[in-house]
Amino acid sequence: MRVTVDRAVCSGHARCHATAPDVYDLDEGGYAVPFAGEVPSRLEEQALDGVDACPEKAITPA
Amino acid sequence: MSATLDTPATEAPLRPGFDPETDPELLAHHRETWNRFREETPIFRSDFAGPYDVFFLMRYADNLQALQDWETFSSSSVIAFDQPHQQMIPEELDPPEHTKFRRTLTAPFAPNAVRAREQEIRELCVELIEGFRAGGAGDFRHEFAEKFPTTVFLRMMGLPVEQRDAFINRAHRALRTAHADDPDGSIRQTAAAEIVGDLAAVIEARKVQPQDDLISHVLAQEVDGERIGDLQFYAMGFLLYIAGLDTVANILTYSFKHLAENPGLRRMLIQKPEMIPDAVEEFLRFYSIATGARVVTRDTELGGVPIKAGDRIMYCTAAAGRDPEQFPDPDTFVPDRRPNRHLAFGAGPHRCVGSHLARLELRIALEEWHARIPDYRIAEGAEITEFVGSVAGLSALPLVWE
Repeated sequence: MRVTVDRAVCSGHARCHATAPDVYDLDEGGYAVPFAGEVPSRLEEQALDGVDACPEKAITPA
Repeated sequence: MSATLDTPATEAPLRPGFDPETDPELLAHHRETWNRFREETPIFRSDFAGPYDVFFLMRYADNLQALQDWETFSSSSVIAFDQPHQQMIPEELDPPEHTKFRRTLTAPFAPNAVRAREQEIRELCVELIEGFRAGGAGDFRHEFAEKFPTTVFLRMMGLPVEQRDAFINRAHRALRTAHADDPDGSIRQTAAAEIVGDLAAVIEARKVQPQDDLISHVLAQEVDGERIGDLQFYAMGFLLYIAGLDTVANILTYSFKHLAENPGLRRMLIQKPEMIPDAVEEFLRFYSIATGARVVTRDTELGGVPIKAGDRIMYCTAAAGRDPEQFPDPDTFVPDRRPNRHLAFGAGPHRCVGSHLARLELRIALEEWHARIPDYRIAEGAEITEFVGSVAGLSALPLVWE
């Protein structure tokens, strides 16, 4: 699984990071930086919780 | 014959003269009334603000769409009435101008920067509680909920903390004066001018000698290659001032009333403080306070009703937070509710820049208060009234404790 963040839609709620800190990092302004590359299987559930936590629906799993 | 695609959308129902600041039913039964409205008329319009319609959004999905679609729903004015008022930057700008000013505030309010202040904020919180704890009783709103975030804000801004009560008074007049009590806006304009005066009192000194504070930070920023001008600075400072003082105070007061009435929940949070962050999110959903306008820039349709260019919409986070389409069993407080994509801090480009500071203040308040005053109840005969406006809240919360 991979996760991508639509940077035009991300508004810096930082709920993905609060919910799944191992999958979503934040940049200096507090906007989401997703896991680079394939999400390890042990983190997949966290990654999806992060998708669910986003009020903007800015995160897409693939 | 079945309806065709070009069937005109049904016009939104009119609630003649409906004004959220004065509607008796809303003031008496705030959240219940929004719930009833949502069931009857998910979007309705009112003619209370003048020649155009103001549409009130009751559903979560419609609120989210309007907050995200800044091209159709402009922030050129965030009040329902077409009336001169102190401009607020970046709140009353649209992209791309909005983006330039917003950028100057993101770093000091980002989660990491806010977290670095945790120890200082915790110490302020403890100091306040210890100041009145021995008394055994007090108005939670006045003694704690207003003073705590205001002290944090004044410290962060670099404004004189010893003038805290005067700052709280000005913010109240600017934010909580109902339009019906101030039809020409002069009371609110005067309060805004006093707030600008507070900012003007320190701006020159900071230009000469910058300090480690937010005022100095903003003064050092550039927009389009130039320093931020005085008028723009005042519009930013005014927004920070009113957004930082009366918002956390209101959510704190709702939360502690809820906890005073629900000792089981209180005990659970004391025994399992690791539950507090999720509980904070649920307090924010359950007691969302913010309402504001957007100006419609083009003929459009939202939630199945037509809206004309020049009309205004009111986003209503209190109604969105109780929408059963988004939140199962929405009128039940579920301390570990997940997911919990509430709109307490808005959405889209104008998402509350202070949200991470607010969350930290709420968590620290819940932790430190309960470490010191675990048992409390609402004082007998307490008179608590609710107000509704750009922010909603409770007038007082008299508590007694062991």
